[in-house]
Amino acid sequence: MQGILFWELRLPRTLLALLVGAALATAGGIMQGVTRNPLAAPDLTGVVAGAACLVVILSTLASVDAAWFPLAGIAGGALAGGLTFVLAWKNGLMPVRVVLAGVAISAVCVAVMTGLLVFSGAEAGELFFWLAGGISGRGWEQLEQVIIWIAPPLLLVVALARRFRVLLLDDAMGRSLGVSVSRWRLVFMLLAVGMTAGAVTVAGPVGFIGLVVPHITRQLLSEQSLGWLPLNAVLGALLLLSADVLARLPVAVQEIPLGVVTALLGGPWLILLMRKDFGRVG
Amino acid sequence: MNRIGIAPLACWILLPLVIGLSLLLSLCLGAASLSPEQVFAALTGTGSEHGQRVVWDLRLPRALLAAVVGLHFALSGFILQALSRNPLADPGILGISAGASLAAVLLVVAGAMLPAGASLYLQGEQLLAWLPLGALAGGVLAAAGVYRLSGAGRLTPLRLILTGVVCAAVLNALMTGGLALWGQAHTETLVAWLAGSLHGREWHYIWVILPWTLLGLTGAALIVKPLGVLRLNDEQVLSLGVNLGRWRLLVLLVATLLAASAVAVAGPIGFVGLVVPHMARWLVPGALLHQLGISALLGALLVLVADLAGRTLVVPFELPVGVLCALIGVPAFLYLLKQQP
Repeated sequence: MQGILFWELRLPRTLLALLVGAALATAGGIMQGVTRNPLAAPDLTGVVAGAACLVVILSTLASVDAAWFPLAGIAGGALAGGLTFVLAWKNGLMPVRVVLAGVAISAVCVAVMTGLLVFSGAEAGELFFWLAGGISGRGWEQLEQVIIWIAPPLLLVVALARRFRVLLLDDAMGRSLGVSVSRWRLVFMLLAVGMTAGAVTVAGPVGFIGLVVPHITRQLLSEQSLGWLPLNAVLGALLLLSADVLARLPVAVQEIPLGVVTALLGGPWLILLMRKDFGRVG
Repeated sequence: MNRIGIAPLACWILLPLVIGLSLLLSLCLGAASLSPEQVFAALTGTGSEHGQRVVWDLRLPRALLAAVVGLHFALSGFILQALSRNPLADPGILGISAGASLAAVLLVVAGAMLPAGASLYLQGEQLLAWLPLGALAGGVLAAAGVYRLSGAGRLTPLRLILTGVVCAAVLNALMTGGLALWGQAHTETLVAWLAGSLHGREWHYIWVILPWTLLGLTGAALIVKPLGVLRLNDEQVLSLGVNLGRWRLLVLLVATLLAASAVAVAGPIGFVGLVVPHMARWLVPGALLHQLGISALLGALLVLVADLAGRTLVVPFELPVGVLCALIGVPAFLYLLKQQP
């Protein structure tokens, strides 16, 4: 009994929490760094909503096999994120504009998802729980499904940390170092979208991790340091794991959805940060 | 302004006509189509029993509620945009709708979870009567929170919007969580409500919202003057010797009241409050009072038509009006964002 509890339930769930947290936080760090925008996190730029939206579309309208969900999520996330940045572009990317365009894109995705939820009827409850975000009941099967979408990009990002450091400089300086800035920017953004999509397909749209973690790590370590992206991964993994443990504490009859815990932890933090640091944001 | 210009006059005459026409259309169209004669017969009480039931009990209250809710959201949006001097403000974006929804959801959940005796007032129509009050409390708290966090007196438009977006995200996550926690038996109803739906709204919803409509309209009429002043620069206003903070709070309260009561009966319908004021300002440049009134009429028209489309376009199903409004509103929002300097 204890063996089953440990091997079949707790262990895969813990590993998933670590993986999802690392993916979301690293993706947030990459997006914030590459766009030099302290608010460019996967959730605020519509990447999360876009990934979730395409997954919901495929699962309700086409009843596609779950193995395709990560790919669909990547496509949806890249589409929505790309659209957000294109729409927000006006002589550069102003943080506020990116957030507002992201809000709009997310709103469209949510509207489409809600419309489909209304149609799908019977599955609505299940989908709704997924949309609240959480990894309860996920096992080895899901872990196997998404690990190829999260772990290789993570390793790749760590291996390419030197390139990332160049992207943080301004474009002219990057070019003078002999680096094709725009190509690497695209590579990193795609890696970030891939990780996010993998995390979203398994855990639903869990918010705030990708936004808040890079802000915390910036206090600990310089963005320019090679260890900064890995630090994001570690801290994100820790944060999501503790959020998941909090979520399943036996206080309520049911588990608290993970998205609620991260919102409770991350939201106030973010608001405080905005108060303190508004000059850089606005 | 002493003399009404041509444009406002045309709007004041044409819009009520168009609204009347849409109202008639939404009484005629639906799962069972009725001819205008049948509708008139039903309205005057001489039609068939089935026609009576469909027109009086189902379609008329629903269409009226759509119009009233649209008016609420549009007025609220207009006031918020004038207050924050921000063309992108809207009760949804500023977190007011999210706060109101969260409070309403908490009330419903509490009503379902409390033991029967304690929840006497939190069931059925009693609960419905409490909902606007609860939603108002939630909306006011959210608005006050956003206002304080964005730096109260030193309120700059961008700061307000960003704080609102973040607060809305937190509140929405809490609400989704609250619903998911409550159990899956009710999710279909609640998903529909959260999408902003007018399905199955009968007369008592009208009676619940009507006092708030009157209060909101009175409030809106009272704040026309302060609103005109608040549209100026901070320095200009201060030089007039006006207590800025207090006026802003009053104006914010009226906008919140309008949005929260609408959320309580129809769910958080977004983007009406964003789009409509722009149309009104484009139609009647200049005079604030006219713009306010035209906004109210346009909002009523928009939600009325959106609800009609939602329940007739894809027939066996019904698209929530909030989904349609978002699909109409988001392109407009993005266009406005592009226009921003």
